[in-house]
Amino acid sequence: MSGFSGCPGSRMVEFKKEDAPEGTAGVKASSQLRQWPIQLHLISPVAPYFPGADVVLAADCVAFAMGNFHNDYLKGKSLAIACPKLDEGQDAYVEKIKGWFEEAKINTLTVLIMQVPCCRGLVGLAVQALQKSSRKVPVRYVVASLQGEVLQEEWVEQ
Amino acid sequence: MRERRDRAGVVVDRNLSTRQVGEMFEKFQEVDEKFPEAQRRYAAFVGELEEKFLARGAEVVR
Repeated sequence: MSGFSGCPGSRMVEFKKEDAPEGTAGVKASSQLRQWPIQLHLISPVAPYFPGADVVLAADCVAFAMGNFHNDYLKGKSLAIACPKLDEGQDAYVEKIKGWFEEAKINTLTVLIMQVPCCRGLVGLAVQALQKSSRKVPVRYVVASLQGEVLQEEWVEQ
Repeated sequence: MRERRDRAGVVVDRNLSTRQVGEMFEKFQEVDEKFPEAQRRYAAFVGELEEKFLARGAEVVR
């Protein structure tokens, strides 16, 4: 028994890793971010980079866990980030996501979350917004492990 | 065609990009909106078939 009895999302874990292999150590990956701001509280759902876009809604921790987040998930997409555990005013999040569906008429929404249970709340917000929305949009979610591997990838049933 | 049956029972062509999935979804929706009655009718028809054949399948398994 580990002796930890709190939220699994707050449990301390340390990953012992070798340094990056020589071939990749000096390679600079370019940023695929094409907008600012990115925090869901700060963005307008109808900002010019959202209409018709494939939007990524990522939990705050995801980009740090996934080594290739920019190329694998962000390239060519618009982004918002949020934390379903720590952020306040999440009712506003549902309205903003609904705004993406109805006003910005986004093409798809990909919700990227960590494997910790509290992160599921972000998918829940997207599903709530989808249910309230008059326009349906394909929504998928991707669950990343603490070490950045993709554990699950599903389209949400409409 | 590479495809996979998702948990929700949806067949997904794994070669489609996220953008293509969204564009196809939009086109299907446009057609569904033009023929709302057909959508209801065929959904009911498929539902009946599933009920009938899934029940028969369960009998065969028994």
